[in-house]
Amino acid sequence: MAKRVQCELCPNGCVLELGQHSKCRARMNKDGTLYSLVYGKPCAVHVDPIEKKPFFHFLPGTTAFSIATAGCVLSCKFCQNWQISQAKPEDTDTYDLPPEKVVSNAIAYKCRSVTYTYTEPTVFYEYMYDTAVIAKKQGIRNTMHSCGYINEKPLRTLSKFMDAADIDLKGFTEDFYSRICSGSLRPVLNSLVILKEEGVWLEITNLVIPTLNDDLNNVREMSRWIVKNLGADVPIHFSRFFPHYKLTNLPPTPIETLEGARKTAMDAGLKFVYIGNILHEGENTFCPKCKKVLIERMGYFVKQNYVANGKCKFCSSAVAGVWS
Amino acid sequence: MLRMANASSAVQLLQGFGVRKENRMKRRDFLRIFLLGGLFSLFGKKARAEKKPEKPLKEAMFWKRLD
Repeated sequence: MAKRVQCELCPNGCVLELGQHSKCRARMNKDGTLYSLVYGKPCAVHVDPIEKKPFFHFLPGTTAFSIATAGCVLSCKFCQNWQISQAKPEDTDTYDLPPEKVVSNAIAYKCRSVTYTYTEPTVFYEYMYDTAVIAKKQGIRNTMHSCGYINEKPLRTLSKFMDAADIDLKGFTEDFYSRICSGSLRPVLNSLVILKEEGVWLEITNLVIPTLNDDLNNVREMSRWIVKNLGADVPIHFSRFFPHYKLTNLPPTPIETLEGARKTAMDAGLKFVYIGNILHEGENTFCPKCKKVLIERMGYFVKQNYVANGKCKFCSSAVAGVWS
Repeated sequence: MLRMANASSAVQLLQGFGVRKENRMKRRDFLRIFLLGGLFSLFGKKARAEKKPEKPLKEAMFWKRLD
C-alpha cells in the first residue's frame, strides 16, 4: 500500500510518498499521515517594534512578540532570511515554546501583538493557528508577515483570528514569480483579496530589486490593481533591496528608484506609500487630506504621532488603520 | 617580550596563591584532565538526550490521503 498524501495548505500541493518531506521542509508523510515538523519549535523568537514587520497603520509604537520556524513555501533568490527560511527544521537551533507559552511571554514582555514572521508563517500553520486562538482569547492581537502563498480554505480559517497581515507582493509578473521565487503571482493576488474580504487589516510590502522588478510600468500596473481590488487606503511599503543569498551580484536599490516607485504609486491613487529599509522622509505618514505629517518615524521608531482616535489631529479626517 | 612578561606575572600570581613551582600541573596532566572532562561532558549530553521523551508530532490541518 503506497499511503501517499497530498498537502492542501499552499498552492504547491505537494504529493508525498511515505517518509517524504514537503517542498517547504516543514511537513512529512509518516505512516500515511501528514505531520508538521515545526509545531512549538520556533527557531527565531524576538520582541520587535511593530514597525519592523512593517506595519505602519497598526498600533504604531507598540511591540510585537515575533516568532518563526524553519522553512518556506517559496525559494526566492533574494531572500533576506535564507539561513532559516531555506533550512531544514532539524538543522536549526530551536526553542521549546508551545502556543500557550508564546502568549504568556507576549504578555510578560508587554507586547500588544504576536507576529508570525521572518520566514513564511504558512509552513507553521498549525502552530500559528493554535497560538492565534489562545492570543485572541487573552486580548493579544495577531499579525503575520507572509508571502500570501496559501490556499483559500486555510487562509479563511486563519483569518477569523488574524487582526493584520503584511503581504509581500514581490513583483507583478508571473515571469518574476516563476523565475525568481519558484512560485506564481495569481495565488498571492487571490490571498490579498480574501484577506480584504475577511476584514483583516492589510499592508503590502514590495522589495524593489534593481533590474528585476523596478520597472515603473509594472509598479503602476500593480498600484492600479491594488486601488481597484483592495482600495486606495491600503498602505504599501517599497523596501530597499540589499544583496543577499543568490543575488549578491546586484547592487542595493538606488534611492531614486524607490522615490520613483513611491511617486508612481501615489500618482496611481494610493494614499499611503512608504519607503523602507532606509532612513527617508518616505517613512512618515502624511494626512491624505491636509498633507501634514501625521506620524513621524525614524527607522522602526515613532517620533511623533498625531493620529487621535483614528483621525488627523489637524483636520479631523479619518485615517485608515487600527489605532487602538 | 610580552609573552615573557605574561608568563612571569602568571608565576607570580600562582606564588601569590601559595602554589609552589614543583606543585604546578604539567602540560601532560592538564591535557589528560581536559580530555577526560570533554569525554564526560559528551557522554552526559548523550545520556540526557536519550532520557528526554520525544514529543508527538502534530498532525497537519489541511491534507488528504491519495491511496
